[in-house]
Amino acid sequence: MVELLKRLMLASGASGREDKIRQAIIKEVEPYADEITTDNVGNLIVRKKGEGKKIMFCAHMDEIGFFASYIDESGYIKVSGIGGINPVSCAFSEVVSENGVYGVIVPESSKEMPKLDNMYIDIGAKNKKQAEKSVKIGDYFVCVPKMRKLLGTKYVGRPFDDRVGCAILVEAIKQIKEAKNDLYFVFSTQEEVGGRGSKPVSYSIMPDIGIALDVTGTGDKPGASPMAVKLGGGCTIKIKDAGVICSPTLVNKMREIADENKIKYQNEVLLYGGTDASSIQVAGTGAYVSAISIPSAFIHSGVEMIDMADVKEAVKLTVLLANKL
Amino acid sequence: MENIKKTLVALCSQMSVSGYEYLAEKAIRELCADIFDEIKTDPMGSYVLIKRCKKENAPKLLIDGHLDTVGMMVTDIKKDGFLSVVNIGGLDTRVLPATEVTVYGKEEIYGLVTSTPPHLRKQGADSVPALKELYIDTGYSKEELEKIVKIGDPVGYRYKLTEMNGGYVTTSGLDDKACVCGIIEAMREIDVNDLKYDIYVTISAQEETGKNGSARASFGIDPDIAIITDVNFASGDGTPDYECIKCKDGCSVDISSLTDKDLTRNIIKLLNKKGIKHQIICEPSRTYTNNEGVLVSGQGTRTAVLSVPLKNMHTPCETVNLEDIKSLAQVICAIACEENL
Repeated sequence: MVELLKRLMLASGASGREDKIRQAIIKEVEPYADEITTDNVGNLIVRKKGEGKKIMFCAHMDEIGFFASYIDESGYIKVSGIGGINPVSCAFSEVVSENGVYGVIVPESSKEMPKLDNMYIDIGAKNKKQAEKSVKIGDYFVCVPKMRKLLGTKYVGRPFDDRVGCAILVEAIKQIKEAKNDLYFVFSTQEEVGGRGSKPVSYSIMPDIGIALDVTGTGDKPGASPMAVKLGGGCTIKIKDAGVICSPTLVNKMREIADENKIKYQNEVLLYGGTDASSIQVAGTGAYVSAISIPSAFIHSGVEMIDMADVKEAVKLTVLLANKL
Repeated sequence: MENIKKTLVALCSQMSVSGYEYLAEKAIRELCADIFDEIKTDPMGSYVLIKRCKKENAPKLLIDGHLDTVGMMVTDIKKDGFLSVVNIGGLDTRVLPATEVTVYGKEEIYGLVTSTPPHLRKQGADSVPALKELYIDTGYSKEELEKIVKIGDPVGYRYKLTEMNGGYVTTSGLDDKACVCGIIEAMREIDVNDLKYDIYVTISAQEETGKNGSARASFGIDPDIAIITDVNFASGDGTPDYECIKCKDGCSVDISSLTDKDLTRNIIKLLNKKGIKHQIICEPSRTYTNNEGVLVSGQGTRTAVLSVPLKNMHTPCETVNLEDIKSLAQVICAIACEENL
């Protein structure tokens, strides 16, 4: 699982530019799928055909990043943010472009709170002409992907959001031998810029049930906003976030299945932020939705932290739900 | 008026905080079984009630009122047995301290929103506490509470309906159960032989949290015309007349960029012709009602908006006048019996 996650994290893909990660996932799931398709907005849809309910699992492939927006005479690159960039957590980070050009993103002043407007990428170019040989306006950069083990089963790195969700689905696809329900594993695009990819794919699938897999916040680090979710406390079953009130009847059923099978889980009410569940809920005539989340500290930074023990619980729960819902 | 009162009690005594409308299913079915041909539920939690006119190729008229109300949700169980909560919908947090609530855990338990006495309030006696400064006191210890309440359980204002002088009633949830009541009463009164449409009533879910329920139901129905009913601000002390409608002046027909010009004009003409009491309010660029979602669902729908004046919106003591509910019912009857709107 750790190796799978690492492989997926290394295949970068900012929102709208998910080609590499999509290829990486296809490579993983190809021997296990009944059907693999992509749609007009780049979503990857992996099917395991069955007779029962139409269930759509959804994890997003895209990650936050930057577009090169302007190259000045000295060869420094101004950027515009893709998704929920927090300038504080990305200042002084190593970045890499879609073409493998490395650089650093730095603020003009290290004395003030950084703002993205006052930050630039330095790729070591001596002037504009040299920079333009490596980077074009519109090329995307991401903070350099990395993953390191800490004490116990904790890991830091990026982008766990949401390659950990993708890895859970890939693992579930491998583990589910026979599908009792009609299963659609969707690896969605453009979640970080408004849950956009999951909207059209929900319309084309029109699932009975939609379950997103994504990261969620935690409340157990110093200064964290109050939240009753702990890193290492188990995966979560989502009840509400800023974008969705999950279907109570589905939530109850998920808890019942988790309890019966001794899955370690936490009840999640996330005050800020959302996930693809909100898009799935309001497609067509609507669907029953919830999410399984992986508690993650320091989301959208270069040191996102997760606990692999929570990931294991999420895989178990996903596999159970696929056949028991 | 007795029917209206009975229906209002049946609706308002049901907990239906946004997302939890399914809990009212039994009550809705009991209330509506004799009035409609068919009652369906959907994944968002909305109820679709169909009354057919039994004419061939009859156009579909959707009439919407939302069942959901603002409320709260438990976010944590604190060590001393207090509950922290988050709002569901646009709760008026100014009036929350010392409010009576019901926590819907494994069983329903009584709760009281905490209130720091003004003497002790660091921020000053005049400042309004934010929801994150407030807790729900249940009298239970943490250990006892954890056996009854889970994180994510909903919380609603405690139900109490009071009849006031002059035909007013006050309780929580009249936004928008006053209108749902008007719709149901219209459908009870109407003679099927006079109907010009197959009627699809949506008692919809999740209006207060993004107006999604009615839009999804409408997508499935694909109506020719949609009438959206909701409450609107009633004028009174401290509210500006030009943004409000008046209690006892009947329901209003809203004029907005988002409502269909001809449909709205035809409804006003019809009401004038029949001498049905109503008022007009302008809602220039937004209506803040389910009209916004229904308008653009599917391939788009012609919509009109009817409003009932309501005082004290999103508080435990929302207030309407029964006459205005009766007026809404009359207006709906007139619309449902008129061709070519």
